[in-house]
Amino acid sequence: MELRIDRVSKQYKNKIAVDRLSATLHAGVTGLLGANGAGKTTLMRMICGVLTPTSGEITYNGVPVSEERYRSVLGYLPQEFGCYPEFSGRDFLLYFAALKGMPRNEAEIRSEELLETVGLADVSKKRVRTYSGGMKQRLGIAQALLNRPQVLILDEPTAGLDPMERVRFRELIGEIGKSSIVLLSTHIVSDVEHIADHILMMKNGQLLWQGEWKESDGSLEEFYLREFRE
Amino acid sequence: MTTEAKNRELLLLFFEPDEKPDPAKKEAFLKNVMTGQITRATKMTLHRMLLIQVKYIRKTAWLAALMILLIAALITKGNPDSVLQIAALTPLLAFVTEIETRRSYAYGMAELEMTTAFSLRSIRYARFMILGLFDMAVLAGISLLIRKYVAMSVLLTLAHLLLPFLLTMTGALLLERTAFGRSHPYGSGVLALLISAGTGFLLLPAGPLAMSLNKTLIMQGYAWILEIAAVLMLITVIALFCTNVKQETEMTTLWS
Amino acid sequence: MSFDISMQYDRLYRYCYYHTYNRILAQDIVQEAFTRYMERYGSLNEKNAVPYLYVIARNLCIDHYRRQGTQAEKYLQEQTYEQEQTIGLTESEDNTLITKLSVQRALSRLSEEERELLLLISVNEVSAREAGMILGISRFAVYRRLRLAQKHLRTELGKEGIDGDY
Repeated sequence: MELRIDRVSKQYKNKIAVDRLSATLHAGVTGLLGANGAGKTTLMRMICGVLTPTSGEITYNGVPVSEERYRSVLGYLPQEFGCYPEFSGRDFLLYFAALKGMPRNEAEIRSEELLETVGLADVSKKRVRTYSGGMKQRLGIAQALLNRPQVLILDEPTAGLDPMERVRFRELIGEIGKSSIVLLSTHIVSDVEHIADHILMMKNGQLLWQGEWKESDGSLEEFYLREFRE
Repeated sequence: MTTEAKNRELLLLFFEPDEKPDPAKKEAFLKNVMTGQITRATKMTLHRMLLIQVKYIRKTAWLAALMILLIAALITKGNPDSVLQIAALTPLLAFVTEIETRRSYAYGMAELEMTTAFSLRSIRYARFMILGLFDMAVLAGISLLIRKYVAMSVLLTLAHLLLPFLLTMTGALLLERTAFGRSHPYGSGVLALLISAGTGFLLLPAGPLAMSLNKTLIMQGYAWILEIAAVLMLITVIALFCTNVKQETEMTTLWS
Repeated sequence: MSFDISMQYDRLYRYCYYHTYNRILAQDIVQEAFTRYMERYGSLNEKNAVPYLYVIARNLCIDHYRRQGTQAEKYLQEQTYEQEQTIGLTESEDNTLITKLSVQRALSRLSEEERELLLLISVNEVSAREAGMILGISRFAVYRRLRLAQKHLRTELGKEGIDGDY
């Protein structure tokens, strides 16, 4: 299981969002740290095949991320997402299960299972537009997990979650990281400190620092602040 | 507890394994099975995709076409200008259809839909094919239905109905390629109204003009121009749609 | 009719473990069964997915222990003997453990086919039709033999001192 990001850049007319970034991800949880505007979302979108790099290449086990084969093992939670107004939580999951190619019966069982896991089972029949921010976020996480992805990309997944939901989330992600590649971005260092094995730090579209991070390495937050003071 | 359940519990005392399967190994395997299923599934399922999208196309979209059918049925008898009047309604139908294929963008679902196995591209294709074909079938049906009351051939009637429809679709698709069009999805609605007026919405001055132009063409035996034009328009629409969708499989600068 | 892959995986594992008493082997066989099924049929949502999976798994188990007889029989014989030696010491312990040993002893006196039927139908909730496909007998034979198996089990459990409705 290897996600290779090879000298990837994304350039817009007057801005370079991502600048010649290279990294290789393996199974486990990788935290992507950086301030807003550092290029995290752009990078993640490129990893998901939603955005094409201006130069460079991203492959998963040798397969370019633009291919359909890759999408079938991908799970993605964007920073923001909407929903058709008539959808209930359950409808939302079933819709995406269908788009992920899951047969109907399996989709129903898997949706029920995930709604339980993220704690939305009792509101599954209600319309998504009645959900709170945290609830919608949890629904988004459930959607990303539908097809048991080998590559899970989460863009600011903990925004809007209360402390207890955060803890549940960390446990869930830790579990998934045992057999999948998980990349989660955040600007809240404490979110990744305890669950990420590997850290990527971005600033102005560049990779500032990358490496393993163990509990014994001390406070990630302090290190992060030090690095960014430059 | 039922007898069966008690029985089962008892038997499980013996049959339940002391050593459970390795959960990590199991998860990894199930993931692969899922992928296997999907790779196979997508091969045989363009038609499944179509079925899925049929389910997710709103009722209003279907109804719009049927409404026109109804109106056609009501106003044709004894009305010499009926064809143009019906034709004037078709731009609105085109607008509704076009909007329906772009619903993902309107509701912020597009980014997510781009990352699924059946991505946004196939969703749009599917919706376009389904609704487009449905609309044209309804228009063809109308043409057949009213042939008794109308002085022209079925094909010519169909050409009359299709031209404004396809013209609107072309306009909407071209509009979509511009920044303005993308941020103002209802812009094509305005376009539809304009074309509608041009076709013969009798309340507007352009109406009689279109009608007399039409009559001239037919009388002079150049009606076939309309038929050819309809076919060309159809090809244009399809080509435009394909290029548009191809461009939009990834996010564009302005949208992000 | 839904196919819950995770549940079927566990049930097949239970079945294979019963036939092999080896965790690694059982899991490998389960996964091999799924793989072979997928290669041949593609979709798990076929009407006969479940029985086919069992048939493949069963054949794989048999392949491994063709000469040694089923592992279950061996295990049962060994276990029963061991427990009989120690039963005096464990009598004061957990009720469940005692019941478990009793059930084990009772089941060891049933035939292999009777145990197989009970595992498939009463525990793994395989249908009679499906069990027939797996064992190569008619649905009616399944009903008949299952009834007899349950009756036999009741008798043997009675001998172990376990009575009552079940």
